[in-house]
Amino acid sequence: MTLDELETAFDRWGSRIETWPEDERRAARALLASDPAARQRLDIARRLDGALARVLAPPPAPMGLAGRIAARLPRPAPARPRLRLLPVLGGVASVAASAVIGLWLGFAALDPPDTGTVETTLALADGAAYEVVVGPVLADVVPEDQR
Amino acid sequence: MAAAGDDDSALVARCAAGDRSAFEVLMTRHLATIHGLARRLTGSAVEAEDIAQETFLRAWTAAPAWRPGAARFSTWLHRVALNLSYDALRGRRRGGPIPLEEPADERPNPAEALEASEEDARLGAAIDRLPDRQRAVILLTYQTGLSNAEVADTMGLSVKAVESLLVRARRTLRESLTGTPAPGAGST
Repeated sequence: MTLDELETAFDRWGSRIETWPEDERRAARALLASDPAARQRLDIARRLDGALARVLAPPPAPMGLAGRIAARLPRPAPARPRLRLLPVLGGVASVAASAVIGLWLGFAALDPPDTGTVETTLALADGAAYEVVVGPVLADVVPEDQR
Repeated sequence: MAAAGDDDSALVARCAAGDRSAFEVLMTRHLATIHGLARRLTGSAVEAEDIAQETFLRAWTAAPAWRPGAARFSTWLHRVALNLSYDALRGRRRGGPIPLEEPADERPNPAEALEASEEDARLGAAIDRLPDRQRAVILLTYQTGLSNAEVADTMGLSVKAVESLLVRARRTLRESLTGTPAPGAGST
């Protein structure tokens, strides 16, 4: 290992030689043991590591930041997704029921068939007489004097 | 901070179940580092706070989908903060020149700032002048304490690419520290 290679190794892996790959570690230690210039490079590398660790030590987070984040947390999603289908199914059922009733009323509004119509006359408390026509579906109430 | 990473999975699982106290523990562990990373990368206290908030909100939302063993939670967290910081830098550059705020090594405590040596101030300014990716590898290495392999995982790069960035960054910073070009400058 040359001095330049040693310096590149410091730049690649830092000044803690014990963390380097085995081969490079062994070669670096041999060079450091024999060359004062290598030891000078090690001193500079350690100085750089120390200064960077000092300068880049993270400062505390701003006051209240954790609380501001916690306040923005959305509520967790429901644990049972099947429950989320119920409103949808309920809506579908309502629409279906409305459609059935609508069709039923629509057909009933057509001229009723001849069969099944019952006519009767009711005398109410006010003395007016009404004829009630009861069809198979609807009842029409027609005052007698308007017939 | 990084040492706590292996213990994060259980906390993330509790977050997935809606446990806010577990989330607060995660913030205690990682918020300062995430905020510091964003602060150094963007050079903006305001953007750093926004990025820290967004990073942790995403963590909360993503917790139910978190798969233990796929990656360390802290790695994921730093990756999100890193990408959001890059987005902020790109957005600013599209909008015109980067409005540099006060030096990014501004400390919240004035007493600490007074104690900072001239050497530290010079080094801090040199860090801020590094290209984005070189600055990122230096921050992840020294501020977050990640290994080269973990930095590579966080940045989505090969270990070799990370080491190349580290070599260039450390060479520049060493020159700034010593005031002279490194004897080996030029190789790599």
